[in-house]
Amino acid sequence: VTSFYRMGIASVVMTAIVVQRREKVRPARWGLMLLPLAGGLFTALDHSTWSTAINYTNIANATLLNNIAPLWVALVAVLFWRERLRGLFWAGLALALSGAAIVFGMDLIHDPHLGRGDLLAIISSLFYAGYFLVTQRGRLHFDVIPYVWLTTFVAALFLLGVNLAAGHQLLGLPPQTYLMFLGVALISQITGYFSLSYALGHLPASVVAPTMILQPVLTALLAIPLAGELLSTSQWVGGAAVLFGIYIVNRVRG
Amino acid sequence: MIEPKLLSLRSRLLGWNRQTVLAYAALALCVLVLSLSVCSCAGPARPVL
Repeated sequence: VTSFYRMGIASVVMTAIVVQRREKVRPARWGLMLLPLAGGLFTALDHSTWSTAINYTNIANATLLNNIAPLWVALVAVLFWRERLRGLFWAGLALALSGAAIVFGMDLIHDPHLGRGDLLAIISSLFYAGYFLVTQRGRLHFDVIPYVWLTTFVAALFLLGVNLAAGHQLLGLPPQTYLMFLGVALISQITGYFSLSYALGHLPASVVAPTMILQPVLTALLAIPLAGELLSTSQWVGGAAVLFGIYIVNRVRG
Repeated sequence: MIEPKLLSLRSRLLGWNRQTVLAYAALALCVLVLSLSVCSCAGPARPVL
């Protein structure tokens, strides 16, 4: 429900921006429309599978397993796009993923058993990777505003269908809830996706995806002053490994 | 304006062009915004992207 409102409100706001700026949405060939359509579908599937996953596993596991997306991105880049990724890139990626495993995956390391929720989180990482890959290609043919608008609109439509099919309550929620939806739409969706899609127009997905592992790590760091949470020594070491791994990836590919 | 000066400094230091500097700035903004929004919601670590 949150994902639908987030996408729905964002697409309404984005529509106003596209109309007001008279953005050129039509690509050189209509077939290229498949790229933002796929981007929107991947976004919606990523959100819906991840949201379902956290009902069956803990958030740390779901976060960790979702963040293996850069591995899928790098594999597709090498196997299908014939990008040349040097050994040092893979070392940096391995270091970043290992660091994330230390920060978020202690449960999984101690009990390496994958349940239903963990498998769903892995599936969501495939869709997350799909978004990065499709957006890198899509941004070659679309400006950032029309691209984000199209993907958000498609994702909103898909999530509306999912919510209706599942019989979720969409109306009659408390006003504070709708305010929260508005905040998430404006801040997370529009600002987050706009800046991410802008970056994917100028940097390869194989750099952007590993760099995004920084987000949950920064969240854990910000939670110290903002939420009064504490990190263990091993989590600090894991966070440092993530930073160093991302630094290597960016130095090699940036 | 401080922004062109900063961009120029970054470009010279890292050998990046203006677009790459802006792309990294956008990526940094994305990471920061998403992290802060998660903290402010005190919710799951990646509900927002």
